[in-house]
Amino acid sequence: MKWIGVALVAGSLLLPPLFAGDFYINLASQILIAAIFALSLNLLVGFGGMTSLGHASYLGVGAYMSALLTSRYGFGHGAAALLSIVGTTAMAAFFGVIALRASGLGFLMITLALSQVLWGLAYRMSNVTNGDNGIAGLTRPAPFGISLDSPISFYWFALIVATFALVMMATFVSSAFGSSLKGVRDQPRRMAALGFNPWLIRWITFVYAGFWGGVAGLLYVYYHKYIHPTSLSTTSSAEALLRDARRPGRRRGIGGAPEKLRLCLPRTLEYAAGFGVSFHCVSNADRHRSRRKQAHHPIARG
Amino acid sequence: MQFWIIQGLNSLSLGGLLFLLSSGFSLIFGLMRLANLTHGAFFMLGTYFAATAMRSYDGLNIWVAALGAGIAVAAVGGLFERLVLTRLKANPLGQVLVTLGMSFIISDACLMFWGGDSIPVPTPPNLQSPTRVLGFVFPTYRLVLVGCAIATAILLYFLIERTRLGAMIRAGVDDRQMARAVGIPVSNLFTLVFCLGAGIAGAGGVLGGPVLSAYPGLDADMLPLALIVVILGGIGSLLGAFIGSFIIGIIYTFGTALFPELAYIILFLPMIFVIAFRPQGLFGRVGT
Repeated sequence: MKWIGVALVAGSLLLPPLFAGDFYINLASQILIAAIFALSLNLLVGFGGMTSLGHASYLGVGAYMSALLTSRYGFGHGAAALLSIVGTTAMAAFFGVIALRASGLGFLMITLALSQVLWGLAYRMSNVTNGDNGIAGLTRPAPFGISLDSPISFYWFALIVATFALVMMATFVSSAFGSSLKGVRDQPRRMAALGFNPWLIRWITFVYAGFWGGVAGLLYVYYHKYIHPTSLSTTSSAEALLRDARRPGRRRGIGGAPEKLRLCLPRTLEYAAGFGVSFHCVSNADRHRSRRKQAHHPIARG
Repeated sequence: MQFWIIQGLNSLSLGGLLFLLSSGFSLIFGLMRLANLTHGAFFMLGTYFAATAMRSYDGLNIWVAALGAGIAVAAVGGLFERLVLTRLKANPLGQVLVTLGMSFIISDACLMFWGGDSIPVPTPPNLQSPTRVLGFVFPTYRLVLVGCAIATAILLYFLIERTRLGAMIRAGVDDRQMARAVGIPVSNLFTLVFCLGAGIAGAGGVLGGPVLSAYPGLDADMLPLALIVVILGGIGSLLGAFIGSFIIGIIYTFGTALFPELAYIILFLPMIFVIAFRPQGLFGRVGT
């Protein structure tokens, strides 16, 4: 049964380029990029229990670094990609040290503030980032001499990266480390008593999620060939978070990709619909969680 | 010299505006442990209500508009709290997501209803002429704004420190379960405080209208400021919100004037350090 599902998903991902028009192929590429981004946020929110309101920072910084390095400093795409991913990951490591001093609402507000700082920088430092005009006129890379300019070739590229990302994140979550992460999410005190280091586990996850956020940012900037401060804004972080919360596959790692299809709906409708669903999911998730907690011995609750 | 005095007065008036925005936020946060991310949207609703009302009824008094918008926004907030938030007790993640979603709905509905152009709110005619302060000319309305903030602070102080209702609210802030145990109807109190906070934000939106004007994205501009003020001042502390508002008003005005490129860093760094190293804020008793 599971394999039929996998075959169906694989089929629906491999078939579109054969018959769909450019519009749908481009839409599918965007879905893949959004999926990598949502998966990385889900590592934090779903598996780590860390609600971040600043995840767009990594997408935005990855994209901005690549855009600046290629367009302004004349780097090649390979070196620029490497540098921007390293840079984004380093930034996530630093942000993690600050943000993980708090948990819950405090964590949420620090990540929000950090992302506002970056947004403000992108918006105001117009001599570096070109401010509200954004950086236009970017190019797509040509790995191994294959041009990615056509919608189909970009789709294959995005599909390869997204598959790799999915496998890597699934491995991360199903590893022993992933189990300890879930343990820290549900029972931090017990985990600490068992000799785990909850802070370090959270921090590593935070950095790993930042890394994949940076990868999504690279694809994002390759796809659009343009970058604007809005991609760093709280609104885009929050939209990602709301998408993440209202999808049924939360905590399981898959799902979320079809959300980009909602582009076809007017935004108010999307928000209204999404609001209803997320409210439902969140209130139900809470019910499940409280039931699960009650199953434990009351004194040992973390 | 002129620069410092004018910017100083500007930061005072921004501080007054921020207090009108964040005092309700702080009350709600303190009593309900709820980061109400809809607060910026409530503020924006107030501004839009005022812009529309003052356009359709020429010469409508701004104080009447503020009162009306305050009541209307309080009603919206009360409905939201009763119908939605009560179902999410003790679920901070859910509350954050739901209030955030609600703010998106409100701001997009405003965009749909009022369009994307900014709508100016007229300054009341009798306050249009400038005042001379220390030999410098300064808009009277901005000074009146500071007066409004101080008046609101005094009223709230008496409400919270000197009335029976205020005593119940304070009891709820300090120890919610104990307050419930001695018979204080904490759930009704939540609705009341939520209405009060939303109402102050709505009225503040009206009063801020002549300075800011109503535009899409006003909510997203104001919400982080409210967050910073409350975090800096301390959650649930009226004095903290008051002092925090003026501190942030000064930092923001001078930051934008002196280092326009780094304004946001200067603004958010104190907040980050406060959360990381002094979670209860400058005057707060409860941590985040």
